[in-house]
This record gives sequence, structure tokens and C-alpha cells, in this order.
Amino acid sequence: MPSAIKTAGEYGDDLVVLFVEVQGATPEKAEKFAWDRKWMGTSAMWTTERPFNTGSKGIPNYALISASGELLMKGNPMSDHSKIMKAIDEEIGKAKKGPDDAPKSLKSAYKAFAKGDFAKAIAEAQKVADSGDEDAAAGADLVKTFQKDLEAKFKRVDWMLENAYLLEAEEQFEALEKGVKGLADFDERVAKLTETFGADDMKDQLKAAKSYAKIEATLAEDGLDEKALKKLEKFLEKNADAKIVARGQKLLKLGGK
Amino acid sequence: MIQSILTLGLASGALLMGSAPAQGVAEAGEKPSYSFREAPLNSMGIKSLSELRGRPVLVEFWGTQ
Repeated sequence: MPSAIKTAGEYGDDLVVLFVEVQGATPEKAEKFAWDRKWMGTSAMWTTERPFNTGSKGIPNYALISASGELLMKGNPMSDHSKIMKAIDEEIGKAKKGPDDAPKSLKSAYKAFAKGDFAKAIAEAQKVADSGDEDAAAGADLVKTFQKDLEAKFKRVDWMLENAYLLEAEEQFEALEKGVKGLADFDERVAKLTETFGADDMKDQLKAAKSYAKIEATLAEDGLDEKALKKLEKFLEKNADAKIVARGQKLLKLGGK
Repeated sequence: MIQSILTLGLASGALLMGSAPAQGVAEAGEKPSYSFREAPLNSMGIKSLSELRGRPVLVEFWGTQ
């Protein structure tokens, strides 16, 4: 487990690490367990729902899934450690280049999308789609895929805003705004979010979110430590109107307050 | 006797693995699919495995007991 936590911290957004508790703990119990062991604080995801079975009889066990959703390998994470790291490096490289079986003419579109230059990616794929040659259908499909992925990214920003992940929403929106510049299809979305982030109270909300992030980082480092929990309690009292309060209260409850 | 051994075996399996799996055993080369009832913590609202496509995913199964 600590090794996978380290992996999640090292690879950041290039890799998804999903921890699945499989011994029947409630989500709250599993989360508290992880906070207490100082496992939080990375971008790793946590669930108590087992999405599939590896067939392994022991824990921990793992599965590595490719960027296209294919199960690549599974087993014991301790004995397979070096194999896993090698495979992750290879998969990240592949994910940035696009699928192995993608036409050569679309490789630059995949690369542009992976770099966050979404407008360029769609333009490149559209060019292939309009070419009328043998890759045209694949180009048209890729344009649709990119547009769908972008829609999902915008929806994710909406979710973050609704659930008080304001700093994450701001960061994601800034990247999206830059990447879709020139794509008329997303003008309305960008305008709406620009308005949201430019609203009078957003500056205060973001300020509160930054202060909260510092407290949360201390808790991730020290566990649900009494001193930091008291600091959190004071912060919540002082920032009662901040959207972030809902997340802070949940954490406070996990800490037994 | 055989029944007792089987029962004991099943019970120890349950201790090791806990909750029942969502599906059958996924093998290499397959594309497992699953929709979460609740979005995983830190997932920013992701509700299915397919939404994670585009990046490799390391799934680690662990226990609190």
C-alpha cells in the first residue's frame, strides 16, 4: 500500500491510482483508516466498491489497466513492483502518443490532445477527416471522440464547482480555456465559466479554499492530528459561508469531532 | 467432514476478500466495465471505469482488517 501511495504521488495526473477496499468497510471507515495512516494527500482515488475481481485470494493485489481500458497484468504488488513500474512508464508513453493501431496521419492529433492543445488536436483530426483518403473515417471518429472528451472535462469542472473543489476547478478551467481557444463549439461553456470565476464572491471563496487546502495538507501529512483538527474547527467557524465548509465538516466528523 | 472443510474454506476466503465481487474474474486482455454507485473519493465525480480511459489505471485492492 505505501508503495502505491508513493507511485500515485510520483506520477501525478499521468496515472490514475484507484484504491479499492475489499473487506467490507464503510466508505467512512476506509477513509478514516487511510487518513490515520497518512495515505491521503495524493490524487489517488478511493472506493469501497469492487469494480471487478482479479481472482486473487489475498490482499493487497492489483490490476494494471491500459489507457484504452484493457487489463494488462495483475498479481501481487510487492512481488511485481519493478514489473509494474516498467509497465506504467510504457503505458504513459503510449497514452500520450495515442493507440498503437491509430493511423500515422492521426498521431499528431493525439499528441496535441495529450498536451492540452485541444483546438489543434481537433483541427488536425478534422483535416484528416476532410482529406477523403483511407484515414478519413478514422479522422471523423477522432473528432467526435475529442469533442466528447472535452464535454466530459467541462462537466468535470461543473462537478468540482458544485462539490467545493474550487481550486481544482479553477486549474482545470484555465487549462481548458487555453486549450479550446478558437473552437466555437465551446465558446458558450467558456463564457459561462468565465462569468462564474469572475463573480464577486468567487475571490473570497477561492481564498477560503486555499486556506482549507493548507489545513488539509497538514492533516494528510500528520494524520487526523488533534492540533490540526482544532485549526480546522476554527477555520470552519470563521468561514461559515464558504462552500468549502461542507468538505471540512466531513473531515472533522471523520476525526471524531 | 467434507462439508465442514468446504464451509471453513469458504469462510476463510471471505475473511481474506470481504465483500462479493461485482463481476466474474477479469483476465488480461479483457476490458472490465463497471459503474460506481458512488463516485470514488478524489475522483471529481467519475462514475465509471470507462471514464478513466485516456490514462493508465493502477487498481490496488486492499483491506482495513
